[in-house]
Amino acid sequence: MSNNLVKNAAGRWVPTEVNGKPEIPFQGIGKHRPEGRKYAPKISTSLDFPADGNKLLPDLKTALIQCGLKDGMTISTHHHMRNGDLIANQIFAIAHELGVKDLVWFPSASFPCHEPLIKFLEDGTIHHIEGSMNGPLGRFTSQGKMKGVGILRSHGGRYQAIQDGEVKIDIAVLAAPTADSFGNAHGLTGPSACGGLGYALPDYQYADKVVVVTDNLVQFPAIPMQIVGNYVDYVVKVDKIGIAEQIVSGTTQITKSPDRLLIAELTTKFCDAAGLIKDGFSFQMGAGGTSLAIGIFFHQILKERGIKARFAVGGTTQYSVKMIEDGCLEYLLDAQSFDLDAVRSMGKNLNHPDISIFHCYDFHAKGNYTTMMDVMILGATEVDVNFNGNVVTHSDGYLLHGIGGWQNCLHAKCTILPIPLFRDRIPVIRDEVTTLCGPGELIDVIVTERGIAINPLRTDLIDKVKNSGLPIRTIQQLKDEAERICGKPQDPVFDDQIVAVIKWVDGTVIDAVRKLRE
Amino acid sequence: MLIPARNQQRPRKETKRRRKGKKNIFNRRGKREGSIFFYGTPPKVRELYEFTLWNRFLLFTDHLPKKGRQLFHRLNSDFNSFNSWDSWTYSLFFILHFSFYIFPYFPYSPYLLFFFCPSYLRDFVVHLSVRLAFFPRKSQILTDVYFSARKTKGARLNTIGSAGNYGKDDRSDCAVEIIRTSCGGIVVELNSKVGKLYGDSIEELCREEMSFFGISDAHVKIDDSGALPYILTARIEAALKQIIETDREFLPEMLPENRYSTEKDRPRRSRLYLPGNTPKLAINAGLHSPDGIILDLEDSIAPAKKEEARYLVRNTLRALNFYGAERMVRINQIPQGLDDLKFIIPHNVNLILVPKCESADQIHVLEKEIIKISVAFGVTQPIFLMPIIESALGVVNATEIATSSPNVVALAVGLEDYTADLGIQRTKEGHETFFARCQIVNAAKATGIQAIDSVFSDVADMDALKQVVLESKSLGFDGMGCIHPRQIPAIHKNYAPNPDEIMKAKKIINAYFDAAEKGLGVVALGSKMIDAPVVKRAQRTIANAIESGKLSADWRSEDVK
Repeated sequence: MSNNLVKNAAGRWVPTEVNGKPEIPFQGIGKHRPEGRKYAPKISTSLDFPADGNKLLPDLKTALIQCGLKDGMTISTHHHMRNGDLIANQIFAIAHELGVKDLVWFPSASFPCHEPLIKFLEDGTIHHIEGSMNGPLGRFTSQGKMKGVGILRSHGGRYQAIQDGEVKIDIAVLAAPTADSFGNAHGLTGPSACGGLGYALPDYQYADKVVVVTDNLVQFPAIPMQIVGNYVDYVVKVDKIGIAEQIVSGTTQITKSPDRLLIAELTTKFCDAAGLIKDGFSFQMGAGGTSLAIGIFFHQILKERGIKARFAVGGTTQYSVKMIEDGCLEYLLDAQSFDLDAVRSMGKNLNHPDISIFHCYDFHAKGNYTTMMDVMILGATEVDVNFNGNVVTHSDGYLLHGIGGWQNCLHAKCTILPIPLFRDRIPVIRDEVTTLCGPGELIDVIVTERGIAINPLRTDLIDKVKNSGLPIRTIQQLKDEAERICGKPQDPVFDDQIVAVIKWVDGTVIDAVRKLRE
Repeated sequence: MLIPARNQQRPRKETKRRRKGKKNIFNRRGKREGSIFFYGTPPKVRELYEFTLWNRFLLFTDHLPKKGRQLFHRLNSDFNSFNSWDSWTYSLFFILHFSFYIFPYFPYSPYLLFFFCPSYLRDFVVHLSVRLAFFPRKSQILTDVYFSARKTKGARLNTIGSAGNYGKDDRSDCAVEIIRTSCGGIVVELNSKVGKLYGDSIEELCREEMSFFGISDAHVKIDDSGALPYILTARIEAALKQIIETDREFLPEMLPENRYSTEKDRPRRSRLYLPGNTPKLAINAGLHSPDGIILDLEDSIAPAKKEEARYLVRNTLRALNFYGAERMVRINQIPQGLDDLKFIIPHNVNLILVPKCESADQIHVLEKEIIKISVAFGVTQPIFLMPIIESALGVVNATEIATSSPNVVALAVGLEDYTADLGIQRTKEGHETFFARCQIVNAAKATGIQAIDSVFSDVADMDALKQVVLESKSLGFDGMGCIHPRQIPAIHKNYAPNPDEIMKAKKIINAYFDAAEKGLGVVALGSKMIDAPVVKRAQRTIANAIESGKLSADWRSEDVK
C-alpha cells in the first residue's frame, strides 16, 4: 500500500490506494457522480444446473470446493443471524483446512461472535475485512495486526460497491432460515427465523457463485422468495445456522436508565415543538434503548392527537409492531427484524413488508427512501463543534462499531442525534472527531441531557423552537460544559500506519483510521 | 560493598580456630555485645547476612509479588503501627521464631528453612536478620510483639489506606489504595477505563494531592472506571487519612452555581435520595428537577464505608451542579451524626435531615454543634433542619420536635423504620401507619411547618405511586421522598393543586390585588377576611400550579380579558 496521502474535501488525509486498488478521496456531498454501467455477473445457462431443481450438496466444504475456492477470493456473508451467526466462522475454518490464503471477507456487518476469526486473520487465511469491525475484531485491527487495510462502508455503501463493481464477490454464502433445494429462501420460519433477508439482495444478484445454507429444508417452492433461487448455485443443509436467542431476542426492552429517558423526552419535545410530528409524517429510529423510548413517546403523542404516521423504515421491534397494530402507523418497511414479535408480524401483516437496502439506502439508484424521511433518530460515539459525527471509533482510538445505515440516514430531512453529553467521563462532544464518518452539514440537531444544539445551517428549526422553553444551547457551550465536568481529554496518539479506511455513501474515501500507538 | 560486621575485627586465623563462633555474647563488663539472633553463629555465616545492604534489598521489593510488597511495607514502615495480623505475618514470624530458637544449636538452620520458603519470604527473612543485627533495640519490638502477641492499643493508623469501589456496577467511581513508603517518591499505578484520555491528568492530580498533604513517598494504586475529578480526589483523601493524621482538606472548587441559599417554605414536593457512596447516581440527579436532593450518609451506606462517604459527600456538595434543587444531607443518627457536620456545613448545605429523631434534646444538641461550626467557618446562610420521625416515641414527641427550633422547617416521617419499631408489616393500603402520618401532619401544621411523607419503594409501579401521592396529599402532606428519578414527574403532577384549589387561589389573589389597587388595608373575599398567610399560601398554590403547567404564567391578564 503506497503512502500517498491527499487531503480530501472534508479536510482529512486519506490514501489514494488501498489494498493495491486506486481509490477516490471524498469530493464533497453529492459531488462524485460515476458514469458507466453497473457491474453484472456472467451469463449462466439453466442447462448447467440440475434439471430436477435439486442443487443440494452434502456439506459446506463440498460447496466451497465446487465453487472453486482459491487464494485471493472475496467471500461475502450477510448479518441477519446477528450475534448468533455460526456460518461465517465455519467458512474460514474450511478455507484454512484447504490451505487457501489471502481471502477477503465481505460481510454486511460483524459481531462479537466472529471473534474466532482473529486466528484466521493472524495466520493469513483472511487478508482483510471489508465491512464492519466490531468489538474484538476492531481492537485487533486497531493494533495493526491485520494483513491488509480494512474498509468500512455503510449498508447503502456496501450495496453501491457491489453494484458499481468496486467489490466483485466471488462466493456469496447466505444463511437462510428456510430454503428449498432450488435455492429459494426466506427468513420467516424455521428454528433460526430472522425476519427479512434484505441484506442478502446484492450478494445473490451480483456474486459469481451463490451458496445458500439452511437448517430448515422445505419442498419447492419456499414462499415468499426473499432470496430468488434462479441466482443460486448450490444449497447446503446443516444442523444449525445460528443460535436462536442471539439472532432475535425474545423481547427488546426500552432503556430503564433515567438519564436516557430524559434525553428521549427532550427529543420528543423538540420534535413536537419543531412541528415535525404531524399527520402523514415518516420517521426512522434504531433499536437502541434511547431510540425505542422515543418511539414509545411518539406512539403516545400520535394516539393522543389521533394522527397517523405514514411510514417508518428500518430495524423493527415489538414497539414498531404495536404502532402498526394500534393504527398509529400505516406502513412499516422492515429492513431488519430485532425480535420475535417483528418476525411474527412480518408474516402476518400486509402493511409490514420486508425491504432491502437497495430500496432504502442505495445512493446510486434512482432515488432512495432516506431523503423522504421527516424525522431520523440516530446515535454517535462522538460529534464535534462543526457537527461532524463519528460512529466507528471511540475517543480512545479503538475501532468499535460498524457504520450500519448511519451515513445513509444522514440525508433525511431532519437528522437528530440524542446522545449523552459524556459517557463515563468521556466527553462526546470534541473539538474534532477522532474519525470522520459523517460531515456536519447533514447533522441537524444534537440532543443531550444538558441541552439541545441545532446546526446553525438550519435556521428554520432554530426559528421554530425559539420560544418553546426547551434548553437550546450552542454546541460550543455544550462542549465546554462537558469539559468543565470531566476535564479536558488528551488525544490518543496514532502511528502513521493506516489500518482501515472509511468510505462515504458514494464510494469515496472520507477518512482513514490509523494504528494506535501502544 | 561490604559493611564490616560489628565484631569482625579478629584476623582470619582466629576465625578458623574459633569455628564454633562466639558462644558468649556478653563481654567482660556484662553488656550484651552481639545480637541475640546471631548467638552461636559462625562469623562467616554472620557475614553472609550482613552482606545484604538495605539499599540493595530495597530493589528486591520491586520484583516482589504484590503480597510480598505489601507485607514488606507493612512491617517496615513503622514498627509501632501493627494493627492487624494476618496469616502471612504469622507464618513469617513462625519461621523467624523457629530459626531463632534452633539457631544457637544449629546455626545452619536458616539455610534449611530458606529452602522451604518462597523466594520473597526468603528475602524477607534475610532483611529482618540484617535489621536485627544492625538495630537490635529497634528490632526488639518485633520479638516483643510476637512473643506477647500484643495488639496495638488505642487508635493507631494503618499503613495501607484504601477507599472507593471498583467493579462492573461501579461506574464513575474508583478504588484507591495507598501504601506509605519511606523512599522512592510517589509511585502511581493507574488502571483506568479512560486511561488513554485522562491517564496523565489523573496522575498529575494524584501527585498534586499527595504533595498537598506533605507526602513525598508512597505507592498509590488506582483502579478507575471513569471517576470524575472530584470523586477521585475524595477517594484519595479518604485513603490517605487512614494512614496519616492531618487537618488539611483537599477541596475541589465550589461551583458558583452552588452558592445559593434556600427559604423556609420553598416547595419540597419531591426529595430525591442519593446514596452518599455511589457517585454515578448523583452526576445527573439535578437534571431531573427534584425540589430537593438528599446526599445520604445514613442507612444507604455500610458502616465500614461511612468514613469515606463523608469526603465524597463534601466534594459533591462543592463540585456537582444541583441545578437549583435544595441541597440536603441526611446525617447519621445523633450523636454519631455530629461528626458528619464539619464535612457539610462549610460547604453550603441548605438543609440537614435528622434521622430517627425522638426528642427535642437531639435537635438542641445538633443545633449547638451547627452554630459552633458555622461560627468557626463563617457560614452566614441559613441551615434548616428536617427531623425524620421513624419511631413510636418520635411520633409521640412530634410536636415537641417541631417546636424545638425555628430552623426546623419540615417534619418528615420514615414509615419503614416506624413499622419495624412497632413490629408490624408495612402494607400498600397503609392503615397501620395512618395514626403516625396524621400525627406528623397535625404537629407540622400546628407549628406552621411542612409535613413530608415517606418514600414509595416500588419503582416500577407508577399507578400505585399515583394513588399513594393522592392519598398523601389528601392527608395534608406537602411532599414525599423519592428513590428514583422516574418518580419525580408523577409526584410533582399529583401534588399539584387541582382545578378547585386553583380557582380558590385565583380568587384570593385577585381580591388581594383589588384591595391593593383600591388602597384598602384589609383584603376581603365575600364576607371572609383574608390575612397575609392566607394570601401567601394562595400565592404558593398559584406558583405550584404554574410550575406544574396547570396554569399559565400570565393568568391574571387572561382573566381580566
